[in-house]
Amino acid sequence: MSQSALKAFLSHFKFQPERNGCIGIERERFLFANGALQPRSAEFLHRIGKPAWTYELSACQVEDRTQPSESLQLIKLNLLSNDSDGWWAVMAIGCELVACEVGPADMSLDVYPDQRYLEIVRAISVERLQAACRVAGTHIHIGTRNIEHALDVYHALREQLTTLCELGDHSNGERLALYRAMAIDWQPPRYENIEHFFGTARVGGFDLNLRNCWHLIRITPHGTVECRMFGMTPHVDETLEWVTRVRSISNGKG
Amino acid sequence: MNEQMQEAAMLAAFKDQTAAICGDTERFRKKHARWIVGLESEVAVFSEDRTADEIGARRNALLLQSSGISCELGALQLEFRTPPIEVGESTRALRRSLEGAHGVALEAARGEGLNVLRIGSNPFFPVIGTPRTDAERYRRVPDFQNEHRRQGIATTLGLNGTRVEIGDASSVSLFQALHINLEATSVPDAVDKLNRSLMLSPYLLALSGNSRYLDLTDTGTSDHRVLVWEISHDTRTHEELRRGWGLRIGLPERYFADIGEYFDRIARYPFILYNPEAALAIGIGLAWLDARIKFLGDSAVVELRSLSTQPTIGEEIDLVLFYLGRLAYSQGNREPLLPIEFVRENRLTAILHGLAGKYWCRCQSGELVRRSGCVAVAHELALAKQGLRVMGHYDAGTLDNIAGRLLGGSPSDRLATTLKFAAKPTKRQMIDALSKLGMLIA
Repeated sequence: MSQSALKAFLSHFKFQPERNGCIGIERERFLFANGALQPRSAEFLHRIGKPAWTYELSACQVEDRTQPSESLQLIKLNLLSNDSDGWWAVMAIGCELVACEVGPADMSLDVYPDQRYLEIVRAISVERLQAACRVAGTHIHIGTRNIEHALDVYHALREQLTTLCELGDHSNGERLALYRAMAIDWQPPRYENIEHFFGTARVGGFDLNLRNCWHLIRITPHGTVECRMFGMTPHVDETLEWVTRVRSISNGKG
Repeated sequence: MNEQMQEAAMLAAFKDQTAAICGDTERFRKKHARWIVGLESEVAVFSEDRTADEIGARRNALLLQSSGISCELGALQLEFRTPPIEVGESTRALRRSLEGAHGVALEAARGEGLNVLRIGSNPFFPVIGTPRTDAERYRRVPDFQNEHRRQGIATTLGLNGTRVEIGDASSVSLFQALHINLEATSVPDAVDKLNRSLMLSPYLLALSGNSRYLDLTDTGTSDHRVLVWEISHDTRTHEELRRGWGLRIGLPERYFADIGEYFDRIARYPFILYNPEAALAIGIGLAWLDARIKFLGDSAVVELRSLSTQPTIGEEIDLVLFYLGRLAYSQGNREPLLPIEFVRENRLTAILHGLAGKYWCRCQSGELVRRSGCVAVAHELALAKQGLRVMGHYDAGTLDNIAGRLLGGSPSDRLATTLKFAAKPTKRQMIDALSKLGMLIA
């Protein structure tokens, strides 16, 4: 393993020490009308016109995200504000936003016309595409200072993986079962050191593009550790409970 | 009788007592359509050179000597109230009554060598272990909240890098509020007034923020009073969070369809205290929503509870007029209610950012729009003026004083500016700033 290759790998991570401990949240929700999920994310996004809202692989889903913040109160306001914007937009297009973590098996498999997603779809089976379209979740990011700190936080969260999976489950495990079908390499491994992390990334095919890592906990290009095990809840206070748990596990790790 | 049996007995008694109300709602119907208002206002007592315990002892002494002044949880505060007064063409009688009650409190405090502090949160004392009034209710209720607070809950407050630990339910004893009681003309009218009050409260809160400092620390909020209640009193279990249950504080999960739904929500929470004969009063007394319905004799009364004590009586009366006028407009025009989730956002915006936030409101075409705080509140004030005219108020200058806050800022804004936004002002700096703004009255 050359040092330059390792250096190139680490350069993908843009740590922002000033955002150490800050929380960012992404929530995926379905568009619903007339008794079925609707592949209308493009129409929704056009209507809402806010950068906090974006598309997902399934054209039936949309995602909102919060600004990184340390303050739970500001995070809550951000979540409520995104919700209001979302509801305003769905009312305008005659839909509902549904916070459900597993879509029905017969849902539309239309994919949002994004180049990366189209390539992914070409490379996977229909079963995996169906799994990818059906799952929705809440991803919680926590900011870290540097790669050593990120690995510490990652390992602390990894030790609590089972607990966190249970905490965020609203589908008797169906969402996580589908996630595992979609992302075969879902289990966050233990990294002995930075070199081992790099080696795992190479074997897993995410050394050049960190977004190709589908582990339930992962270190992201933004210098955050991301927890992807939580399902969906319509209740902001429950989301904040997850945040509090993630933060409390991460605290004390540097 | 163990705690579980006491709770069961209280619940049964509450259900009996509320069934009696639901079975005879005609009793609460009024033949008139008058606006009858009673105010409850709290102030803190303070002395630069005395400890909290010493101030509390003097407060207790003055309560024994003075009539017309009472107390609640806080050991360092006084409460006074007006009788129910009809507010029609004029608020002169209401103003005189509140000024009179305030004057009595002020003189009584002076007699004990204490100053009066007209602010939503007493900024001078530590939040944890704050002294409480020595009465069973004020021992048991905060202790219950402390014992049952959800494990692992984050109990710090502060924006902009400051942090104040608020993990003690007795912290709310540092808070002073203005409660506006309004007689409803019937039980359905009370429910309608309640729902509209919940919707309108954030606009009033945005303009009236007066609770920013705790323990000589700037929390960066406009009015954290109800937020501290929520955080320090969150006893919901994980299962209740999953079900989407709200707190007994603030906003309910949805507007109330009828009085039965209101009672059902109250019955969901522990009564904590044991006195079956008073189950109705205890249940409602512990319903710390931004607004609630009380039953007093043959009157159904809506109480708006979300507003902090204001720096002057005149400002409090203006705020009362803002509320009454806006409510009259809303009821008179059968204004559609904002979706409650939008109200939830408005409310937290008001708490955190006051006039600097953005608010959902309904523009003239009926469309829901988000506007800057000053624009939204100016719009709401204009609607309140329309409502006041319908009530019989034709004074063109009504609300002008309080509208001046759209330019000059809320009391919290003014205090922060005077303190030059110091994150941790000294006691001396705080005393000087409060004195300068007329909020600390010697």
